[in-house]
Amino acid sequence: MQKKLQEIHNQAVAEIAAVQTEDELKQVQVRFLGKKGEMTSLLRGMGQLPPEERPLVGGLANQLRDELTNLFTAREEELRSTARRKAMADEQVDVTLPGKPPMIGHLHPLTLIMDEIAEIFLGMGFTIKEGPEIETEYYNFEALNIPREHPAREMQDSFYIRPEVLLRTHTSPVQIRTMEELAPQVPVRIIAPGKVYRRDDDATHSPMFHQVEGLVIDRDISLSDLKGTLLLFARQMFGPKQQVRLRPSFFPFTEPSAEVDIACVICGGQGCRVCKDSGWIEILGSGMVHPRVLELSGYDPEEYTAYAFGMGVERVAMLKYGIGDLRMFFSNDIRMLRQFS
Amino acid sequence: MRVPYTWLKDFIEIELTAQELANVLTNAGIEVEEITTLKVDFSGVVVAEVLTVEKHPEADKLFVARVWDGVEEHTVVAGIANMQPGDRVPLAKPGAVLPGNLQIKRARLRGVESAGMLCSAAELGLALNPNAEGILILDENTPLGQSLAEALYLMDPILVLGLTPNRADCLGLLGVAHEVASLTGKPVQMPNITANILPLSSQAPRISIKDPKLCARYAGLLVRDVRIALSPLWMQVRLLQAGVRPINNIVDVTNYVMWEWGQPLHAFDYATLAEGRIDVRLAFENEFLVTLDNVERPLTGEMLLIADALRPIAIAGVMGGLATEVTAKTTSVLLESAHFDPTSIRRTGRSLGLYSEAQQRFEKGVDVNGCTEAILRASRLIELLGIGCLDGQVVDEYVAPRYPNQIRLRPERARKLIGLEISQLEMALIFRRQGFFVGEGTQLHVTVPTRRQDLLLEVDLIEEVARIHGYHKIGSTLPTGAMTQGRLTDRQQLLKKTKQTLQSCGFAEVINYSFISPQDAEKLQIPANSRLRQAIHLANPLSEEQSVMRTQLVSGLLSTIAYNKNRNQHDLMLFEQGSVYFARELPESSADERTVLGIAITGAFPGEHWLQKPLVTDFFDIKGTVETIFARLGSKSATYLPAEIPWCQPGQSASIVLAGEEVGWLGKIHPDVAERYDIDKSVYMTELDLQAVLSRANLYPEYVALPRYPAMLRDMAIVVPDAVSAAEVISLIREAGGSLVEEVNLFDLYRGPQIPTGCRSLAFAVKYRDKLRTLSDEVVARQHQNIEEALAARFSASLRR
Ligand SMILES: [Zn+2]
Repeated sequence: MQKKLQEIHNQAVAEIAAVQTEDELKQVQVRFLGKKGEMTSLLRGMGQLPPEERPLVGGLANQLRDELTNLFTAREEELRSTARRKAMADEQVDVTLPGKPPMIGHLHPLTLIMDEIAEIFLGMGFTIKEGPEIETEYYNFEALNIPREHPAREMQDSFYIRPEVLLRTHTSPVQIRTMEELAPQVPVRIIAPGKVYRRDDDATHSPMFHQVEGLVIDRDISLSDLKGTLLLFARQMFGPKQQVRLRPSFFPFTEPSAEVDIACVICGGQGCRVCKDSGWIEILGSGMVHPRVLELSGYDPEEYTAYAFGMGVERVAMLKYGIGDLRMFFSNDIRMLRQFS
Repeated sequence: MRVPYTWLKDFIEIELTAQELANVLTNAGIEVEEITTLKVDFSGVVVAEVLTVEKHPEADKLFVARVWDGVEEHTVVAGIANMQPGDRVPLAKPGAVLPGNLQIKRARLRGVESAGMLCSAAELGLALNPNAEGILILDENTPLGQSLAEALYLMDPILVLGLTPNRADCLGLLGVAHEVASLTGKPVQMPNITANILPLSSQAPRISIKDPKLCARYAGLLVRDVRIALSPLWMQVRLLQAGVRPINNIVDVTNYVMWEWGQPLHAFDYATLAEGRIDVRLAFENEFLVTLDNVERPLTGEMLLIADALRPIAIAGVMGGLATEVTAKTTSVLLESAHFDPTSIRRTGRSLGLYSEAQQRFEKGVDVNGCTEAILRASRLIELLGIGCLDGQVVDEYVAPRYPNQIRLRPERARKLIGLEISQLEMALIFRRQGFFVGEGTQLHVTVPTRRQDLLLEVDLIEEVARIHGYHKIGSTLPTGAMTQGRLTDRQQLLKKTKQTLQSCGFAEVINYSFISPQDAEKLQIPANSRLRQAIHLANPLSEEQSVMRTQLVSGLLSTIAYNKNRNQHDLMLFEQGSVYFARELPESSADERTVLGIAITGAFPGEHWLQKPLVTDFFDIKGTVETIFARLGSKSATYLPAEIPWCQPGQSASIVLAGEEVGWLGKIHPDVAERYDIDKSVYMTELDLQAVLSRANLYPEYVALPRYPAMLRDMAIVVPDAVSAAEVISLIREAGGSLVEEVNLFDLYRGPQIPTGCRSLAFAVKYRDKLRTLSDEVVARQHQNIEEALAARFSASLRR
């Protein structure tokens, strides 16, 4: 009996080592350890042994069963990992081949810039106002303290639809519409992005372009508040080290008025061709809202003061993305658009 | 405004370089656009005095001159002998270079050695001494031996100002000097305006202002014994630096004074004036005037004129008449110094297409109280140059006087508005330095002279304080006060979400001009009665191609596709979100601006790839896009009704209906239409009225609890005539299946040998679910059969097993 056990052991070890697939191994396992396998039939023969031998042989048989079970498990794992290695080897790819890109689109660079501007001002508590592009002279000019005979109202500079009605030449009419809507509530903090139109078409002018208007009304709003707001904006838009410079200027609807420069983003203020060696680049016009404008639209200028600004979106986009040609924005050349994701 | 630096220094001491002054002015809002000089294209030319001039011994047409340059004597051969001994002339010595890179060498001319040449203005490339031939005779006191460029101040810097329209006062050097004074604290030295005026020799000119609204003041002064000649070179050079062409001494004096004072002057040949009369009046209809430029100009009743007893002699402030022009023969002159209404001058100038320096100044507004000073300054110069005698006093008609404004300035208000601590004393000083009278108490009372027409209100004075004190001193603060909430409105969020959806689906955003060509309506074959024809026309477009406000986005997107096609970009997924504009009713009363979304797909996607071939796009790409947008916007599902869209291919176009309202269309662009835009590929497009779509959108998704009981899927394939639409079949399946039908999904469409002609097979997966219990096979089978029977009954559909 013990000899028989030894034979089974030797035979099983040899066969386990010989098999090459998991299926073959399964068959071998059944043959040795299955219900009708050799171990079972051997153990059935136990009854014929003398009773005093039974415990010894039983112990040996159990020992063998355990040993074989372990061998099968180990071999199974070995075979499985060999098979997987082979399968993986078969699936090997040239990792340098191009990938399959998901389709992704592109927002227009002007949209990206307007969204960014909006986000900065939303963060400062501003809301966004919109207004019509087809405006009346009242909102576009008169209410902004641009009298009938002002040179800015020359027919040749604006697209007219009929007398008194024109394509807005700036986003400033939204200031007026906002004041009319909200007066005399304060604080007012709004920006107004949108399309504007001027009768000009050359290398540096487009008949349609975009502006973002800003308006803040409250008690005790000052020129230094304007500067602080724009400094914050410039730093978010163009980098934390940005500086702004206010230069006196003239707009009929602001007094005092200021043109606002940022440190040249091309040369960092060292002086270059873009900034005409000044180290500064103009990005917007601004000022304290003219008392006549406030008064006309329902705010008592003695009680409230306000600042306003208007910036050219194309200009900001050109600076931010290094686009040299204004016309590029409206060419809609897909090769340009695809560069903005 | 060109500011010759040395000339400016006549009126104020300046311790800064031109560049430093430019920075100071620019920072104060008087922008210096550039610093330039006259063009000097020669070197090696010095000032010499003529000693003798003799005929050339060997040549009839040549002369030999001996000249002295202060150090040594030179003999030069000249081709002309307009110089006299004692004259100072430009000598180009050997080694000199004249314009055109002409090298001057020692040369022997018919036996006489010439040590260089004497030069004319033209040979030096200088626009001096107009129409004068010969060697340039320099002013008597020109320093001998000095380089000509230096001696004539040709290299002096010129500051070119880019003035804002409110600063007309800086259109004269004295105005600039006042500005410099306020910035540097140095006093302005006014030019001498005292002249020796002789008793009137005959009758005084009779000046009569017929229209005081358009002419507030007219001052005239007679000059007799006029000797017309060229001006001294110093004056001519200054005028050239100012950008004004020298003409003759009298005209040059008027221009010189204009540059100093900002007050335009005009000179009439007094002998040509009928009855010595000056009427300032509006033109009569059908009057004409031949102006200085020898153009006969028809006048209209809105134009302000200067007339004598008989006829117009000048268009006020714009241009003089030829008949009364000062010429070489002129012996007496009437100087005019007047104030005309800016608007009137501008209109007249525009309608005649003229834009003179004088006109520019009148338009922007000259100081009405500077008229007499300017005319007296001209008299002083005339006397100084010895070119005429002043005949009687200035005749001054001042019919609409203007007085200086007194404006109150509250220092505290200024400090608050600027956001900067500036003392009252400092504020007062800022005004006093400019020559303003300042009364001081708890507030300032500033008397602003009429030359500063931009200072009318307290806030203007506050700007003046901030400007002169320096904007750079203003700090950065942030508005305090109540908090406000910065947030996009629902509409703004939805618009943004729409763009983002399309971006994430692979579309590129375009922005087209809002104006299109009237031809686009034709190209898109839009019917005459369509609302899309109710377009708004620009009264003054830049071109016909950009003369109509768009009523649709199709033409812009098609043009964009064509543009890219021409750059070899054929596979495009584009969208544009923007406004279209309708005249509310014809004729155009007011505008209806609507936000719309246009989407276009053409070509194949995704791009060429080694793993997979791109798929050519079709109708269902655009439809899927629209469905995705509605899904993203949380709109209820739309219906798509076959519709004839004029610019779409019949049979591949539909209108989109959302909750009973038509919100847009989609389809394949008609090949004829595409061809008109030079496109030969299939283009699929949609246009949605976002106002309508967004009003039915939900910004916030509505959560539905997940099902607790399992669903059962059953397939069904039916054969229906082509005339029966998929939508009809689906809606009947839902109707017949009742509430247990959760989803109906078309997964196959088949035409082929086993299917009768004119029919197609549609295969659906129907998902059943009962929200309250687990479904049994029997219930589902019964429901499925109900559906099949209903389909058979309604559409004569046969089932395929
Ligand atoms: Zn730079």
